[in-house]
Amino acid sequence: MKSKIILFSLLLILLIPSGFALKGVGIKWTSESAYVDEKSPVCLDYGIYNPWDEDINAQLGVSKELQEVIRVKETETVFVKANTPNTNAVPVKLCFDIPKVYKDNCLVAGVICEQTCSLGEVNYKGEVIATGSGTEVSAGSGSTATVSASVPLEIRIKCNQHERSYIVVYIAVLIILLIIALIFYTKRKKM
Amino acid sequence: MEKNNLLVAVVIIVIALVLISYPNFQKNKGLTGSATEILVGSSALIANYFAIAASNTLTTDGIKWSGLNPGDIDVNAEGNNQAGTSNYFITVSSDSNVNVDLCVKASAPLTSGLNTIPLTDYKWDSDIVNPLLTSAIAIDLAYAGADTSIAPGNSDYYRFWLSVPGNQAAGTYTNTISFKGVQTGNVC
Repeated sequence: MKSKIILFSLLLILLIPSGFALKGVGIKWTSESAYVDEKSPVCLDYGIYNPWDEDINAQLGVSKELQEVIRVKETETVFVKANTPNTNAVPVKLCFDIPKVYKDNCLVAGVICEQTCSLGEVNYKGEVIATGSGTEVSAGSGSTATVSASVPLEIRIKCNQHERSYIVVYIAVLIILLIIALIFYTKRKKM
Repeated sequence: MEKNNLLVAVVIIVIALVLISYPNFQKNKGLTGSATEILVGSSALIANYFAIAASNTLTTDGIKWSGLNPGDIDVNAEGNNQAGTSNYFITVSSDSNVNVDLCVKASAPLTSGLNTIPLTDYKWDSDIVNPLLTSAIAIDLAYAGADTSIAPGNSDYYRFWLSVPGNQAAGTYTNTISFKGVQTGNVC
């Protein structure tokens, strides 16, 4: 009787259509926005999980809109075993550099600058995309398929308002005065 | 006489120092009296997660047509399984805590060397039960919305049809079809 049950189970497994085996990727996230300083590195934490039937190699990336503004550092490809639930998601850091966004108003090239933040804060919207390993290439005419899971990300860049700094002018005046004093002093000494 | 020179130099340096420190004096205005306060941190962490997967037919066989002829119109892809449930489907894992909208796009037209089959000849439809040719649309290079608000544990089914222009050159035409899941309400 037992052997009949085993045989029947094996037959069932063989009869299950191939369409039942699944391969995909899961993403877990705890933030959809970041408020960051310009000219600074930023890292955000995500989790990749795989509650499906096959092991995958997965990677995080960002959508085109964000690629145009932030410089994403290379993200590692992580191996995620089949049947990995969200509670055991593999942590992945997405790190990128925020460029200089706000143009300072300078009296002289690069010095005596002010930032009024009159244009408001800049923000960029895009997506963080988790992609599973590529699918096998099929023979014959047709298309291969890829699957990805995407979450929104909005990056708002802080504008640090500051008044024009005259420190360079003061230092220059000090140096000039010291030189004048030195010249004056040495001339008098010679006399 | 030398004493006077030294005095002049000292006066100049003092003036310079005052000039330098002037902006700092300005900034330090407004000192307050003493006060005590206790700061207590407060935080709440919300985690969202979802997972999607493509059917085995999609990931291993792909979307396939064999034995096509120039002039063929709206030929079913091999996995369409018109007689029953399509073998092409995307499933939202029951290990998800949000509903999912699905999006589809093509990487390029079907291409064989220098020859291509226009995207307008590559049609698709999605449905949670039975995708139909009558509601099919041409696939695009940009993501287009398929079905929305797919709850955890449910699937979205797809069918694909291909027409071959009359003068199409022989060849093995390939491209990649991408399926993307987003949390319901977000754009593709």
